[in-house]
Amino acid sequence: MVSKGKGVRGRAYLGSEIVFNVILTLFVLLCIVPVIHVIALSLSGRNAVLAGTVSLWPKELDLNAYRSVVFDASMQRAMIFSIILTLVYTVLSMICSILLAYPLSRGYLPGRKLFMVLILIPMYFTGGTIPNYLWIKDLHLIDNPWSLVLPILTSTYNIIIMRNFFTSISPSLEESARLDGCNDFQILFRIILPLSTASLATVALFYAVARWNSYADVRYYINNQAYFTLQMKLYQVVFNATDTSVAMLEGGANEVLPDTIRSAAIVFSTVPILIVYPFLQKYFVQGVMIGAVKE
Amino acid sequence: MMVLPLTQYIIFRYCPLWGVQVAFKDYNLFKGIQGSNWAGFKYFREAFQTQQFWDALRNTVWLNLLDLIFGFPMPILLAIMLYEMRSVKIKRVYQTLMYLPHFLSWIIIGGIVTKMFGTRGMVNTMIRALGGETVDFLTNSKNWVVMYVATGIWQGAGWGTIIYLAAISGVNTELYEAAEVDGCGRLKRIWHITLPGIMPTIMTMLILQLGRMMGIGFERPYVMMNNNVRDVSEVISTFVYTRGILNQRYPLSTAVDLFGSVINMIFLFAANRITRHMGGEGGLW
Repeated sequence: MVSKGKGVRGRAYLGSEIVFNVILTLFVLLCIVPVIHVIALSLSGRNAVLAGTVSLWPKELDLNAYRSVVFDASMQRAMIFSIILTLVYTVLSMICSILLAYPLSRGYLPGRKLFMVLILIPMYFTGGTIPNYLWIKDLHLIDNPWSLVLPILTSTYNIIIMRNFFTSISPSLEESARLDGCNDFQILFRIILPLSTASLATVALFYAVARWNSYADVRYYINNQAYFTLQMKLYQVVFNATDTSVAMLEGGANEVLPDTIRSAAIVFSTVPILIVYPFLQKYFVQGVMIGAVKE
Repeated sequence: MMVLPLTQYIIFRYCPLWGVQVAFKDYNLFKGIQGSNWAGFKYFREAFQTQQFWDALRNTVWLNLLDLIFGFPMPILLAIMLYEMRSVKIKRVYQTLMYLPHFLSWIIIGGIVTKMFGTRGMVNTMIRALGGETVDFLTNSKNWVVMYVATGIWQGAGWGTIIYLAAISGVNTELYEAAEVDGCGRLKRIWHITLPGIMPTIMTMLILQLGRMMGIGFERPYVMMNNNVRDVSEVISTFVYTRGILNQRYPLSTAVDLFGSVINMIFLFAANRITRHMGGEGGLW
């Protein structure tokens, strides 16, 4: 976060203060108005939506769209699959990242420079979409949920954030533990990790949000509906030119407009993010700051 | 300790690099990458002869350039204004709300944009209510480009302020006090102290963005595009997806992808070199 006021600002700045505040307020409104509008739309009744009178507050409150979305079996399955996928992915990624970031944060690791180069190269050189796809295919991972986990198990960016944080932990603690006969794993689990909970939370959240929001790899690697993530399902509902997939969702509530259903589906899949976001925001900011520290 | 993660790197980061040779081969599904015959630059030539490739290339560069011109300065301006805000409480609230769009997936953002700017959307309803004519925000090529850039700013500008706010709070406060004593106005102070103070950060971010001039994510253009605006919205990543994964033209799409990456590397090296020549500390390496 930003440091508090500097106390160097006098009254003379009132003019620019007003201009700045107006611009910032406009930008903030621009950021949230679309989200509020979609929420309002999803809660509004048929006539109000058709007449186009819904702006930022629901009119003729109607929860039928949510009934169709929340009780739809494929939507529920996608939600559950996404939650499990995100959890599994985050846990495995964290294990992988810790096991790499910790050694890289220790100055005495032989060949540390070489390992750094090894993990930095893929940041700039990647196989590209098709070579990756063909490789996943050769490994028989197409239509296998592990194709959404294993290829992105490590993120060099996140590992560097973690490494920067581990580096900042005083080596004296480690030395005394070593004198007490602790091995590397004991030091990692008993000393380093308990001291880094905040940064671990940050990195875990980066991984979780990335997995939750990703869509491209599902599009590339998954054709089987059983492994559709929520984003994939949402894409079908929101973007299908024909209203068939929306109609499928409608079920019994045939009084609900496709547009309202689409809005409800958007809100439904945004809710998990909106719930955790306010509490976790500071961790995200912190992560960006730690990541910005250069070698 | 490092065995597990390094194995992951090798299997999923380095092994696919081997497959880049597909761009130079007559790929045969049954023979595999290794067994297929070499084709030289055949598929590069084929790509260069198709109009769609040049369209995708031009669109990629053009959209990235617009992102650079309009999107790059936004977080810097916002960060400076946020820093100058007097009320810490309001600033906190504003920051929280500004970062929010960054956490929404492109599918959600695309959905919101089509809801808001479609012919029946809120924006057009308002325009009609005010006596205007319906605007085809998403189906007219020129308007679509504007929407694409604006959506990018909407999603990323708030989040982008974090790095600049960190840089600004690192500027020596004595300089501000000295400026105050000298009777320096706020705008002058921003111009002469804040901006030079965060210049290294700006340069680093600039190189990073220049290094992505040919790289374009898949999700943002993919969710925003529609058939009416294909002429401006088909970019390298979507070209590779449709030709490669959907139509299984693996060598052709790999060649296109590879061509983009090579140009990208040239951009990155050039940008880095230029900043180092300018004596900036902003160089990446």
